[in-house]
Order: sequence, then C-alpha cells, then structure tokens
Amino acid sequence: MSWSDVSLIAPMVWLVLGGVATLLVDAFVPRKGQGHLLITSLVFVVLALASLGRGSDGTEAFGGALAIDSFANFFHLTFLVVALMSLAVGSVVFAREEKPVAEFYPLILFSTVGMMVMASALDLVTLFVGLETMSIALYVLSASQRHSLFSSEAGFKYLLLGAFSSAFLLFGISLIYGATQTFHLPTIFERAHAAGGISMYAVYMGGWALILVGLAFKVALVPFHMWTPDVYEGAPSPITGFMAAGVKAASFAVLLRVVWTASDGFFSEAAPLMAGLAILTMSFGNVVALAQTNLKRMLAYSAIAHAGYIFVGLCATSLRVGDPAAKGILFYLFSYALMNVGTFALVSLVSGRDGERCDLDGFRGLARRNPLVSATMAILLLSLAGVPPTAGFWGKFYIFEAAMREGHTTLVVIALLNSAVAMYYYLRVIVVMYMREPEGEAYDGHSPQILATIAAAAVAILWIGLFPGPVSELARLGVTALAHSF
Amino acid sequence: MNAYVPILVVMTIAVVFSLLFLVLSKLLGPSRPDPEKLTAYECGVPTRGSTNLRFYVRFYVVALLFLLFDLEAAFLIPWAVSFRSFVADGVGYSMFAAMTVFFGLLVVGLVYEWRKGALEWE
Amino acid sequence: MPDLQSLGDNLQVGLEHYLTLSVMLFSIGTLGVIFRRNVLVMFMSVELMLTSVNISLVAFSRYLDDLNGHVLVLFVLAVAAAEAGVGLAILVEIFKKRDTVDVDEFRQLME
Repeated sequence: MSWSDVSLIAPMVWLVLGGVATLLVDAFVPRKGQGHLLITSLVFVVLALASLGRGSDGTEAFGGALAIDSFANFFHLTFLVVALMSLAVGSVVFAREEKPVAEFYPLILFSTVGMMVMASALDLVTLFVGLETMSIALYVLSASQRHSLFSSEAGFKYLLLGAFSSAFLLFGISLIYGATQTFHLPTIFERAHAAGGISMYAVYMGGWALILVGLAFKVALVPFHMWTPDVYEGAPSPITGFMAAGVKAASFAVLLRVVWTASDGFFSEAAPLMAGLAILTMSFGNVVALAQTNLKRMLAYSAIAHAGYIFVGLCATSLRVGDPAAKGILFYLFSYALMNVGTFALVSLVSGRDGERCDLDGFRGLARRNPLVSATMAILLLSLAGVPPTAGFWGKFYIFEAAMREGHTTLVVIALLNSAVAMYYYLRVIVVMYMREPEGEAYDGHSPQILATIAAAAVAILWIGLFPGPVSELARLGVTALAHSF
Repeated sequence: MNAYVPILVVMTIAVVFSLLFLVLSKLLGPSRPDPEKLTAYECGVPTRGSTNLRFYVRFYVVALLFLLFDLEAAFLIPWAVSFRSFVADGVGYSMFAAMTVFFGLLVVGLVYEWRKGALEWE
Repeated sequence: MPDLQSLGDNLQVGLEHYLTLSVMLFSIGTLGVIFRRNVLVMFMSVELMLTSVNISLVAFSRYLDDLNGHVLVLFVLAVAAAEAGVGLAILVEIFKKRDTVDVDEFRQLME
C-alpha cells in the first residue's frame, strides 16, 4: 500500500469519508429536518464525481486487488449518478416518516462504495468484500421503513437469500482457489491457459458454476429470482430504484470479468446452459409482469426480464478488445440505471407515504392532474420498453445486434418477441395515465427535489437516445480496458 | 461415463430400500400414540414453569454490539503478530496507517452508538 | 479387538476428508434453508454454509501452503457476524411489531 494507491481510489475514499461525516453530523448536530445530512452527503458524492477518471488501462492498485481503468470508471460514474439521484429522492421519502431514518444517507454512501469496489475488483477476495459491503447496507435500507412490517420482512428476506447466495459464491471462490492457488483473476486466467492447464479441472469448473449461481441470485435470473418481487415491493421505493439499478450494474460488471477470466473453459462449455437461463429469465419475467396490477411488482418482474436481456449480451461476449456485446452491456446498464431510478422516484412521488397507491389505479388520469409528471413517466416507460428515440432502445439494439453477429439468432428472436410482449404492460400504464378519468384521491406529491430528479433522468434518456455516441464511446473504452487486464 | 454406473446403482438401491422400509414400517407397525410418547425425549429433572423465557430486548442490542467489536479483534491480532515482519520489510508505516484507518472507522462506529444512546441501559 | 495403534498409523486425514466434511456441511445448510420453515433455523443454516466454506478454505490454504486462504476466512467471519447482527436486529424489529416471538407465524412474505 502506498500513497499513490490511495489517490487512485480517491472516489471511494471520498464516499467513505462522506459516510463517516454524515454519521458524525447526525450524532453531534441534532436538528429537526434532514437538510444538513442531505447536503453533507451530496457534497461528498460531488467530490467523488470530481475525482473520477484516475488511472489508465491496466492500472492495478493495492497489489492487484483493484483495477482502476476505464471499465471501472464507467461503472463508478454509473453508481455515483445512481447514488446522487437516490439521495435526492430518498431524502424526501424518508422525511415523511414519523421517526426519520438518518442512517439512510451513510448507508447509501457505503453501499455505493461496495458497488464501486465490485466493479474494480480484480481479485476474488476484494470482490467478496465489495459485494458484502454493498449488500449488508442494502439489507438495512430495505428494512428501514420502521412503521411497516412489510418493509422489515422484505429486509429479512433479502438478507436471508442474499446470505444464501453469497455462501454459494464463496464456496465457488474457495474451489477456484483450491484449483489455481490464487484469488487474482488475471493470474487465474494465466494458469488456466498455461501449457499444463489445471490439474484439478473438475474442482475448477465446479467453482465457476457456483460463482455463476451466486451472482445469478444477485441479478435475479430465473430460477434464482424468488426474492425479487417481494423485496422490490416491500422496500421503500427510492431504495428499490437504487438497488435495482446499482446491484444489477455491479453484479454484471463482476459477471463480465468472471466470464472473461473463465473464457474457453467453463463458459464455453456452459453456453447452452447460459442461453437457457437467458431465455427462461426473459420469458418468465415478462409473462408474469403481464398479470401484475401493482406497479412496483410489475417493475420488479420487468427488472427480471431486463436481467434476461442483458444476459443475452453476456452469452454473446468473448474476450477481445472492443467486444461489441460487452459494450452493449455497459451501455444498457448505464441507461437502465437512469430509467430505473427515475421510474421508482416517480412511483414514490405518486404512491404516497406507505406505497398504498402503488396500484395501477393510482395512476388513473394522472395526465389530467399533472401533465409534466405523466409526460416524464411516459418517457421513462417507453425507454424501459425500448422504443426509439430513447436510451433504452440503443441499449437493446447494441446487445441484440452483437448477439446476432455472434450467431445467436434464436436467442435474439426470442428476446425480440419478449420485447414485444413487454410493450403491452408498459403501454398499459401510459393508457391508464392518459385515457382514464381520475378517480378519488391520488396524486399527492409536490416535491421539487423528486421532480427535478425525474426531469433530469427523462432529459438524459432522451438526450442519450438522440445522441448515443458519447456514452457508447465511453462504453467501448471501458471494454477495451477490460480486455487489457487479461 | 461407465465409471459412474456403479454409483448410480448404489444410489438407486439406497433410495429403493430406504423407501421400502419406511413404507413397510408405516404399514405393518402398530400406531398407538399417547401424550407421553409424543413428547420430545429429554433426560433430567422435569422442568418447573414455562421454559419459554422472554429475554429483555436490551440483551440483544448488547449482544449485537459485542459480536461486531469482538470480531474486529480477529483482524487486529494477526496484524499485531506480523507487525515486526512488516517493519522488517520496510512497509511498517503504511501498515500502521492502514490499521489506523480501520481502527478509526471502528471508533466512529462506537462514537455513533454512544451518541445515539445504544450503550445506555435504560 | 482391532489394533488401534495400527489403525491410527494408517488413518491419514488429507485434503479430501476436509473437503468431504465441508461439502457435507454445505449441503446440510443448503437443505436447511430450503426445507426448514423456521426463520431462525434458516438463518442458522446459512451460517452453517458460511462455516463450511471456511473449512474448505483453511484446508486448501494448508494444502497449498499459501496464506491467502486464511485472509478470506477472516473476511468471511467478519461478514457472517455483520450479517448476524443485521439479521437479528431486523428479527427483533419484526417480533416487536407482531407482539409475538412465534417465528412460525412470520409468513407474510415467505411462500
């Protein structure tokens, strides 16, 4: 460890300092509102954003534990944007509580640090530590609505299945360690591709399989998705948005590294299995989402379906500089993060304190009551559905096109059919907003912070949809950097 | 693949026989339950009063705080034991700094608990 | 009467034995999480799984003569403690709201 290592991870250091600062401010400066906590945490997120972009391709910090390259930086940017938006939205939602949860701010910051460590992790130990830093903070956040039994149970369920999945991940890590004698991913790659290969081949393969299972839980692939609907529904909406966007991005960042490390080994032999997982995930998520009337639950199942689309990209990816499928995954995750945090922010705006109006009926005639809010909602939903000219369209386009070129025609056809099915339930919400008469009490949110956040998300989505170039170029640079670490 | 056939055979036999005996004992064995038979087997003096004691919730809080700080010692001790070799390798200062950061974070946690009143009994 | 001395000399506990133990404990834990309906028991089963991973890590570490495995064991222990802390805290919160300590009624979300 040296000073240069510490300066390489400056964004993470700022966030940890921010978490500590908000804790201490909360403990020593008791105030009625939470404005001072919000400002403290936002200052540190902005400092972290300002210190992004250190390191160049192939830079390793802390003796190979972390990689600080364009790949990591791309994800760090995503996480920081997600954290910024979630803090702004969450501060409004948690202020509605009788006993405000001040721990919200430090926990979001710590969880973001965990995600950043995951995206940078070049070592299975660092990967595990990052994953748990992210997850444990999220377990508490999911359970943080203290007046709601539903929220507590969601938190506990998430914890139980999260710990269950990390046990699988850990067992996989232990087997890989036993077979290769190292935790360092590039070294594992080297040893697997050395002349003799790996002597304990079965153990090595089993290890990757278990790691895949552990991560499949985190990204909610069918059949490892059981926790998703309940947790997404039970957790407070801003937290749901944060974890749907952040956890998915962080876990896919890890999956990309894992797939590339184990390339030519496990993941080429398991290709049919992976394609099966992708098909199952997409179809199940979309079909069940069709039947939902609760918006949060519908979005939860659609999150499962989105994990399936991204997994199509993972099936098509292969270790080479500037791989188009991997680029598509990065682009998709960035735009998905914007849409998801935006949509859940909107749900928390419309649904009221306990989320009692999460039902589709709560959105009846929203266009009449508040045209601006319903217009942003329409943009977000169209982007989730993948309609041009939105960011969501380009994400799907990049992934499906790359998969097509790799010869996964069946997979792409099924994915396209699924997108068509998904169109139905996204459009249904828009129809309810625009073509139904308002009924009783519904829309009650007047929060400039949330409005600003969702407006920013919608504008960004349209902007990226019209000019996908810059983000796509950043994603391409990220993939190039990823290839350099092997 | 042929090497696995005996294992398959053994597994099949095991499953078939255990199921067979389970079913047979269910069918043939007399079943006359009474309260004494249904209680869990225990030895020793019969208990007096309810064994379902309620613990004061405070105990949980103290136990949780203890658990966390207790485990941090697991990190401190290996560090302390190998500190001499760190110094010999010339990384003494940076290792000391690393542990100071770790310890500082722990102290922040403790200060937070203290300010929030988690350490007070009432 | 078997000759215990020679039995002891012939009995060599190697990597396979530790791994077998680890896999067995891991499977017991997995089955516990899947089949038990009591949340506390499920929670303990997860802890058992984590512990079984520790056994295999230490065994590999010893066998490979490499200290890195021990480092991960320390992290696993710390994480297990943190998870236990968070989990029990949430459970206490749930029990307070339900006014009962009967874990089996904790069913709102479990399928």
